[in-house]
Amino acid sequence: MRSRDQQLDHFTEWLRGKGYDQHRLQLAEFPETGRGMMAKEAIQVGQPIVEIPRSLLITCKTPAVEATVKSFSGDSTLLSEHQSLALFLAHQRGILGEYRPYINLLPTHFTTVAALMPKEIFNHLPWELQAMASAQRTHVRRDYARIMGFCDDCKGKAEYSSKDGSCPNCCTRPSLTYTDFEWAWFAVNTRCITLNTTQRRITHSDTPKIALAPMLDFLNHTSEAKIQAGFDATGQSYRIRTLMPYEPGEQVFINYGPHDNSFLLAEYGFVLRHNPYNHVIVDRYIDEIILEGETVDSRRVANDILDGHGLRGDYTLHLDDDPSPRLTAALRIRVLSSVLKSVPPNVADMCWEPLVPEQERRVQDGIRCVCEAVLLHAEQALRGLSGLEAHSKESLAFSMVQQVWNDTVAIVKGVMQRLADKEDTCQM
Amino acid sequence: MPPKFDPSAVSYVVLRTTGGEVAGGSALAPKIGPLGLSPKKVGEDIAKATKEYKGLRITVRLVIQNRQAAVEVLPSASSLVIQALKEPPRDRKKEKNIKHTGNLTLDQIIDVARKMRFKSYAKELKGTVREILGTAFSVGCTVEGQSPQDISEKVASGEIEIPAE
Repeated sequence: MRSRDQQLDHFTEWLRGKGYDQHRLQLAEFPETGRGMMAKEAIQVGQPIVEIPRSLLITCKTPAVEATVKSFSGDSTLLSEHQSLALFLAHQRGILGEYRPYINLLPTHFTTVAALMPKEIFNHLPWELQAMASAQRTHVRRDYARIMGFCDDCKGKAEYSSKDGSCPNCCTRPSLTYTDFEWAWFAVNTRCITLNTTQRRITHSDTPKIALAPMLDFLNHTSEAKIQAGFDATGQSYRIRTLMPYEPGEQVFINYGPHDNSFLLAEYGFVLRHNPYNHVIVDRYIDEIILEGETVDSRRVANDILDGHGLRGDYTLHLDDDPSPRLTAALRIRVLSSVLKSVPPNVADMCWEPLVPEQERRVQDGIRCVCEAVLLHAEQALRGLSGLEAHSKESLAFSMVQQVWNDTVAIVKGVMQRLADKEDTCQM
Repeated sequence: MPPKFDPSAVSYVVLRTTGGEVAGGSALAPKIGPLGLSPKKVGEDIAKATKEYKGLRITVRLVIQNRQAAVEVLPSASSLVIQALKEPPRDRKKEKNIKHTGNLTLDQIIDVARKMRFKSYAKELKGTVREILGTAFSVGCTVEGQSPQDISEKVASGEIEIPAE
């Protein structure tokens, strides 16, 4: 595609104009990950792979962004950083602005982000992923309403007109289509970086915390990559150093953080083939199962204890590891409250150690029950996916969702296998 | 919200353990279990990361993100001084009231001071060296065959020179 090459040339020239001289990396297509960054020369451990000068970073304090925000809301302090950046990108997309070369290279659609998947695929997502994605959708709508200064009537509408956000009562703002804003919102969400990577405390409410870094955002993620990233005050640039060597021609990766595939799919719109951080969240299944000898009353007592000690929810199963201690602890508390007439006050300390064999067996049965429920759900979802029409099956989103479920099945089967092994050794 | 390299997603747990030993599950579980970490695995990780400090009481910091923990050893003056004494590892369960009677060279003390420099509020390295000499006194060892107190006074008066960095 020649036009693509031209756009790339424009972009490189634009970068150079802004004071960025790249020499170590270049954009390239890779069969596995699509577009990524290739090492032009050998890169040693500790060497910086990218240095984005301050002038190139786009934050809510960048003059062009501030100008756009002012033209919309009059006051730049009313919008959050994410909202300002999204508004800026959406606005730039509409005009032939200064940032055109960068906008041109951004993906035109974010079809693989969970929130933007077609309905038929979205319905087959795991529950917690659906919840994350729905929350994002509401977030986008709320931000859009905020920026456009919608009156309460308009806010109530579930779906804004996709052509134009104008409403007879409140159309004082420049026009900005919802589609453009949605695109920009996800562009920011998938590409922004944290500026202050060392301090956990917020130093100044005024200093920008997130930024868009053209060029840097073309680097792909793997869980193996080891990097050090942060804003370098002396060099006035955002620098990423690699802690792994690369050969010329290899793809250079960075690490966004230890995320599992569900999170990656919801926030960035991709999954990794082998992700060591994968886990299955089983909160909903845990609530649905009934343990041996459990009554409604004992369940209520147990839930009160769990709430009181902050042990409710966040129950997970892991690959090559025991189920989360939270999960076993919660089940132990449930078993104890069903067996004992009055629950001892130190139950929260007892639940970390195995109980007497008879009670522990009920805990293990509970875990097995949960595993079976997850497995059933996963098989249903996979069957549902395979029943889709051919055109949906060809989409990238389809194969990603399929992989999330396959990961789930692998994790749950592993947990069940280890449970069975443990029982065998106990009997011998 | 997912800006890349988000530091706010990280949480820390500080523990004091014996180096090179796998802490009993009962000690770790109530602390890290609620965070969804496996006490067995974390215990093994801590033992592995603290091998150099076998048998010494040290402070470790767990860097926790997404139910995964990385172990960092937080250097402390006393554990670095005792480590420099190179005593044979002991079983803390069998021996009580351990006394450290050894001798260190001033260079070893300066090495320790350099490692602790970032924690110290002293203006110059000289001040940090004196802090470490104080620790050496409390540990019970000698420096260059003399009492650390004497050395400290000599450093203060300038009789013994300490490099600036």
